[in-house]
Amino acid sequence: MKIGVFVCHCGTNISHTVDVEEVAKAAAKLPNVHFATTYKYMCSSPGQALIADSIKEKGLDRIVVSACSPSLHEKTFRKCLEEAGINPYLVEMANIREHCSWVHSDRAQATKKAIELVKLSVAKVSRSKPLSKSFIPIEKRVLVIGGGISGIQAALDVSFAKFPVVMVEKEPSIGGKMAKFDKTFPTLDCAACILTPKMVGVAQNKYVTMHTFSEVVEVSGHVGDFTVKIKKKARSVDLKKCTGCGACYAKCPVKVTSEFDEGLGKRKAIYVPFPQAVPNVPVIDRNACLWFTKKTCGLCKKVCAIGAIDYDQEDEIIEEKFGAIIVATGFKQFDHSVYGEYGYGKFKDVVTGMHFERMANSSGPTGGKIVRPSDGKEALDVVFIQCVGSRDEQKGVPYCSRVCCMYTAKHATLLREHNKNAQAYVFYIDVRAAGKNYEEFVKKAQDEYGAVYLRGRVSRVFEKGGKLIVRGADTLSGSQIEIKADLVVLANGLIAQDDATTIAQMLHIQYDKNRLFTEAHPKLAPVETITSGIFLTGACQSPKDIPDTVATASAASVKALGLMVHDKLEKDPLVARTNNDLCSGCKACYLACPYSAIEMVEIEDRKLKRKRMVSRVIEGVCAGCGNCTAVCRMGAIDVEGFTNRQIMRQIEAL
Amino acid sequence: MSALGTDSMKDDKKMAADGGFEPNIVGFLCNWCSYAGADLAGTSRMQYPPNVKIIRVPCSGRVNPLFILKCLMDGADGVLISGCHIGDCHYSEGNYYARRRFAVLKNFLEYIGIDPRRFQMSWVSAAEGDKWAKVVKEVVEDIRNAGPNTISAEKK
Amino acid sequence: MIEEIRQKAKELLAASKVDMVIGYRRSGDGVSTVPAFIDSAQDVDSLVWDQNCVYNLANYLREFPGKKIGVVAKGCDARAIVVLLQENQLERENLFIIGVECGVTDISEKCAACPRTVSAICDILIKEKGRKSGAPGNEKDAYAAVEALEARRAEERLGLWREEFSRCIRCYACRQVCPMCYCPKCVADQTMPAWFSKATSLEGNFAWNVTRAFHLAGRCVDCGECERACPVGIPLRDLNKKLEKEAKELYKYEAGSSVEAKPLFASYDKDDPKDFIK
Repeated sequence: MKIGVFVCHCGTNISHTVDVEEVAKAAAKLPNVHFATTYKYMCSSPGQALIADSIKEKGLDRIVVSACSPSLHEKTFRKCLEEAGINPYLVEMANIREHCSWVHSDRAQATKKAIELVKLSVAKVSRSKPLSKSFIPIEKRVLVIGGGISGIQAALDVSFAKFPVVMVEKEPSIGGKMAKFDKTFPTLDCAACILTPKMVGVAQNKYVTMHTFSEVVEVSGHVGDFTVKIKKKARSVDLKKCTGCGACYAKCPVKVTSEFDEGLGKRKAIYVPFPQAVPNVPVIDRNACLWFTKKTCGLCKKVCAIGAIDYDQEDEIIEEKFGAIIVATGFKQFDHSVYGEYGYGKFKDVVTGMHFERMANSSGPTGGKIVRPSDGKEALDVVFIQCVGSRDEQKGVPYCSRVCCMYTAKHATLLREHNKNAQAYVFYIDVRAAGKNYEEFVKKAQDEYGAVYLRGRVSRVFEKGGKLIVRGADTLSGSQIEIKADLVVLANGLIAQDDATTIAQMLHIQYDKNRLFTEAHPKLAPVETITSGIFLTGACQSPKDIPDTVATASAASVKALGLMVHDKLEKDPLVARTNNDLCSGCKACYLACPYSAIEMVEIEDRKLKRKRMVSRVIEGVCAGCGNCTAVCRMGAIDVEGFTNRQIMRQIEAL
Repeated sequence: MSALGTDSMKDDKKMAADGGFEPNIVGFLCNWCSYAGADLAGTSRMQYPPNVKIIRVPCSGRVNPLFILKCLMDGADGVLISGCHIGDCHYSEGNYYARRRFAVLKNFLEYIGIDPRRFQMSWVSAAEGDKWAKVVKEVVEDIRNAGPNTISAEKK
Repeated sequence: MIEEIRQKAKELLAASKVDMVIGYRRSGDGVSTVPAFIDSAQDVDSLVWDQNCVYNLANYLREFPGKKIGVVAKGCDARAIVVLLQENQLERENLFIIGVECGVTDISEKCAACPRTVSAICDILIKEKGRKSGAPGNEKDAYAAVEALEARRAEERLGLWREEFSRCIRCYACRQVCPMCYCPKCVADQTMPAWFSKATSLEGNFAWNVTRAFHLAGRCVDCGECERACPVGIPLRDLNKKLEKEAKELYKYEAGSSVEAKPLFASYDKDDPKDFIK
């Protein structure tokens, strides 16, 4: 065995605190180490060439690179070894940067620790075995979870490459939040005008299968081969038979508040959420419907000429296989009830931005009039309050929601467009208008649409003489001001969906402290997750406006398509394996495997001359977590890359 | 004289230049959360004591109880296992198994008379560089107070 | 009682319902008993039953794969059979379990705290005549010794166990008599890796005894055979009972109570105790 140790200076990142020459000198004295040297940047081309040349010249057969975190460059050096002609799994990294030079300042102590870390890696690599990659076949279908603009774009992009897509949307119609918007910034196109064609494009696409009013309930497997259970909730209307004529909801006698209109309007118990819904098939709200609550009525069934109403429909669970999953589950509006001072809930005329969108919409509950919900009169003086929930570590979330400054500028513009005499006042902290034509758009709202921007927080909203008095600080003039308003609009931030954690846990992806899904790398892998084969798009990862959402949707699609074009995928060989001689067949590993990647099989024991049961790892399913090896009392099952021998040797080295 | 078999953990090496006791601690860190959290502590340049030597494992569930025993028998002054928070495990369940396994081991070691400070566990996420630094500081301090490991040292 | 056992054994063998009955017979000293492996109905009269029937007969069941075995099982033996079935080591259809209620006289010290109930898994339960239900048994706190030790200072405990373990001669008698020690190759004998020292050093002995106890966590049924077999008198039951207590207190888990239960460490609950974690 000839181990080579390569100690990196990392410019001065390491050498500033760690005496790298000293580390190399100490490494050279370790058992089986044949050669040790240092270099300024080991990951650079000349650095890698140094390793490759040393392998050839000195006949090295195992390598330790003492540099940064393996999460950054383990792959780099594996490739380097492979190109130099030795097995790529015979390299170990000693992390003397993140775990040493950057966290310690005493040079002697840091150098001593760096030597210990190198010792650990030398110990481990001395017990490493050459491993060969395996291949897993790829199921050429993509699952898109969520049917908002994000999921729609992703589905369209994947289908354009002629790969089958299944879209799962929990609401009765696709379209998501964007379908509720009136206009979109900074161009003021009508949201429906640009969204509806895409929705129809999904519905008519032969590569896309839509499951609306459905939820993903279980995900197992791994990249290339996910098995997904989808719950199709009982719609009570036959999707295939219904023509969308609308006779049923025209006759339905039950009226309840419309979720789509944010409670400002009414809908029936059997309903389509909005006129452009896709599919244009109603759903029965079983909590409101008289048939389901009292076993009376049944009008819809009577009027449906083609017999599409089906009261006996039940939830159905279907199971499908996918090679990749795109997560497009979107966001939820921040719940502003924590801001008692803004009077929401107390005063009817304090509303959210989403209410404003519905009012501004000509097919909305007010027919396109901006009114006071309290008395239906047109609102003239409207105060907009920014950063509701955003940038507030005490009551809300610490981050900026990115879209509120822009949608408020849009609302201020729309207000004046709807009524020449209306006046918008905007209380803001900072105006964040970074985006193509964004700053110009805000400026236009101020200059051409007369929106008055006041820099400061609102301290209180109260009622006086039929008007809302908004009291706040104008920090630029240093004065307290009070504005008499007809309507107060809160710019609620964007937060994670209620079930974000459940979804993340089901998909084995990570989420941050705000429950937003975590990308594999904030800069270099923004739409990937740490679980390969699962990609993120839209606001489930962080607040995004429509252009950014669409861009990430296309990005995620390309990542998914990148898998689809392959017939098989190279699989890391770092999986578990059973040693039949040691296995007693006790099933502990089989029961404790989080992936059900272990099966119990009968083998012929030649020594005992009889059959007996042992465990066997299904390689394609094994994720290499190693839980099996820790529950195995007999040390019969071991995980490559982190074997018992390797770890025991490491412990001995310390 | 120590009966610890291996060479590098002998008592004389535990003493720093100033004669104070510098504990030797083995850390088993899961690759996805705690190891990444320790990386983040590095990129954020947080300072903490150098006593914990990290062995990277795929998951806290990978840690065999015999590893802990081996560390303590070989003379390590302390062992720290760190993994993802419950619910965040990259393998979804590994840390649940680890939690049960090591709850029992910890109580058992204590029953045998091994100072509970010598075997500790933490959940540190990839976002908690600060928590990692804090955990290391606390554990090092705990074990410094517990003193050198003499569990299996023969009587003088 | 013994007549009933013999009768049942005879019946099973005569009808070829089993190939062999494992029970107890008198040993050469005329007092103690040893396991009896009876494969003919004519030999059933050599079976005995009294307070000297200490062996855990579950330990022999794995040695006759594919054969149908009738086995005399005390409460602790039956619990051991449950664990072996749970761990896929025996086939239920190949077993005929003759459950026997233990006598008034204690077989050994462990019996004083034994619940004396014999697992419902038995195919037949032979009761002791004249025994009042419930008694005797359980008159002693099962964990008195463990609790006494817990109450002592940590250094004292360490000193005590160091003292005990230092006497270990690594004869592995404990392993030999234990029905749960069925690993094809014990970690103590493995070399790749060598999990701990094979020498009778304090370090090696410490590791061995702790490992064995831990490997029995959630599995030991407290038959007490290890302690009885130990030639140097290490109080091994005090180790096993501690783990039994932990499993019961932390996870409401009792070894040998159910064949279907997932083993202690091959399962978890989302609400498992977590306070020990930083």
